[in-house]
Amino acid sequence: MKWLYVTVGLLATSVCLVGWIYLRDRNTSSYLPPPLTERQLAQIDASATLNHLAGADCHPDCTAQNCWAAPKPNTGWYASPSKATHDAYRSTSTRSESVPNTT
Amino acid sequence: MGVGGAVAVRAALDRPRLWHVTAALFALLLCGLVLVCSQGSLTIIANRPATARQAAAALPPWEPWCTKGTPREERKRLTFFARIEGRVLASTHGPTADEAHVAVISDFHIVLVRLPNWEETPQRGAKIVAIGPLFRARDGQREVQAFRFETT
Repeated sequence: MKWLYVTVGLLATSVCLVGWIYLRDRNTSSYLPPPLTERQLAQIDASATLNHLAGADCHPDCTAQNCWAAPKPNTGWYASPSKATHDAYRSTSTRSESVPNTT
Repeated sequence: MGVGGAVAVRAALDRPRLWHVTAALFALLLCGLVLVCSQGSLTIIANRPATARQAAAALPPWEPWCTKGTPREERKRLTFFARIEGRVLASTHGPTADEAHVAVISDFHIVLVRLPNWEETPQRGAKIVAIGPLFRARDGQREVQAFRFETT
């Protein structure tokens, strides 16, 4: 049985050595999450766009030309979506909601 | 577990030849670990020298590389400069598109190295030398932003 204890001791020493080397210089107090991937950024952008299109700030006077031709100063592209686009999105979402659940 | 069970376990574990072999294998493993981890060197210059004379007198010959690049500003800088010589444990592209990092074992330390050229990464086990400022990486390890990087 003596050699069993020697084996266990050597294994524990190896594990401790690896753990010590891994942890000795590590300091996670300033941990930062990994940056967003292109896919995540695109998803956030798409969600924000859809929220704007479906939002309550869709002005009835806003048309496709004056909304999407160029952004107004200090407003950006998605500041006031057009009524036409709003309606198009509404009809699309209505269609998708009317798909029967087959599961 | 009764007395009979304890006796059975003891009988099952009573294999001196098996434990001889496993002890020898784990002794080899430990020796290999110590050998791998003790290779290389990590030299750190904690602060920028106050005067040029002080710099000329005390600093190593690779010190000119300390001012050959632009240190990143979005990370906490730990020391003025560091030179690491060791073996590559792992390499990866990312986390952003134009970055590549390698994990290096050197003198019982694990240090990440951000490569100056993100297109090529050295193979696992390659011996490398990197010189650059030392930062705290995202995951908490120390990271050298390599202004000078070479595979030896």
